[in-house]
Amino acid sequence: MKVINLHQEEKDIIKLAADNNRHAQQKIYSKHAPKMLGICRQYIKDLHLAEDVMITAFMKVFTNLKNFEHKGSFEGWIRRIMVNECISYLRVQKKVGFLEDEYYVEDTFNNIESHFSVDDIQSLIDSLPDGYKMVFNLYCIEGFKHQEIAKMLGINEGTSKSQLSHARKMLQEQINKQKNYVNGTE
Amino acid sequence: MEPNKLEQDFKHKLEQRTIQPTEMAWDRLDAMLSVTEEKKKKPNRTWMYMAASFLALLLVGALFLNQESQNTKNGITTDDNRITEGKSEQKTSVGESFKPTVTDSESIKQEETVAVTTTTVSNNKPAAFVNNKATVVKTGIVKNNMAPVLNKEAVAATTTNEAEKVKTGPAKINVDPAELLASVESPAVTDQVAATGKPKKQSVKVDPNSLLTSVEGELNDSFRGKVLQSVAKNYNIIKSSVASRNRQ
Repeated sequence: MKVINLHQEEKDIIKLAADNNRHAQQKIYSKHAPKMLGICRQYIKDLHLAEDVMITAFMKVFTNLKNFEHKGSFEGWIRRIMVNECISYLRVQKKVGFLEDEYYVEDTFNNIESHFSVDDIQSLIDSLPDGYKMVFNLYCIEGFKHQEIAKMLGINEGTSKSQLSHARKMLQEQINKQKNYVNGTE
Repeated sequence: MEPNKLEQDFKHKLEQRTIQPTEMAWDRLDAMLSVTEEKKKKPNRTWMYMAASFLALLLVGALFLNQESQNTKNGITTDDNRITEGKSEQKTSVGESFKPTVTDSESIKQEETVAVTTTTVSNNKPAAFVNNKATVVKTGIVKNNMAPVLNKEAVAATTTNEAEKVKTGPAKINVDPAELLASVESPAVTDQVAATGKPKKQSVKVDPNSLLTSVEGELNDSFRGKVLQSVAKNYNIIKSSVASRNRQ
């Protein structure tokens, strides 16, 4: 009953926000902004820029609220808009290009015990070039398939796979470096 | 190529992460939303203006068309008016033209009667006053009473004077000829008696009714001709004016 009530409440708020009710819009923003800023931060190293992109994405959320059909989760819908906005930002503003190669190696990234904090993970991802970062985030964090990523980024599926392979290799190297550094200091 | 354990851990941890945006972020978003709302409102307004102007144009067009149709109708009505006016003018002109003819014929009659006798002045008087106002008749009587001139020239002068008065004065045909004759005759006769000393017998008896009818018959003939002429003239004027209006 509580879940149904919550769902109904969310529906009402969305309806109000779609009718430009500023209070409802603020409610939605307050509820989802912290998580969405985290997502934007995955793609954009600079927090301020990430916030700018998040605001632009929220603008799109509110202007397109009437198109939301309540079929999937509302958070998932906002998240998708955020990711698309981040990709758009990186491609347009940073002019991120993708090297069209189809070279990729099998996973060398297996079964490493993770003791990384969120900040460590973020710094590892930040160390990746934007192209690798995008594909890595889209594939590993957002859960898109290579076909979808290729479509989203306007690249070949093979390029998406090679980008992921390069990203993983790079991350592996970074993790190994950190391990060696930790072991060396011990 | 499936996400491995480490990547799953990354995903889990990153999904749980929240970063509190700065307080300014909402204000900026609020401002941006306000701007877009205003932008949205403006086109709506312009659309409203466009719709309003379109409606206004439609109204003006409808009014114009109505006026056009009314004008055509009015054109007919004005034509009718013109015709009626023309008719009334004709009537008036006929009335005016009627008067002089009456007086002319009367004066002729008077002259004829005067030529016959000098004492028939009083007899001729009622015929001369047939188409005059009562006031004119009275003044005429007064004149006759004051100046009992019995020669032909004087009579002719008075009749012509009175004819001029008749021309200017409005027409009143409904005058009883017998009464007039009697009223004019009696003082004239008494005056003559006073002047000559003995009463004069009327040598010629004039039947006022026959005189009047004969005069009326003559009048009707000339009247008809003039009416027809004026009708034809006015008809041509109206015809030409309507034609010129249609061309315009």
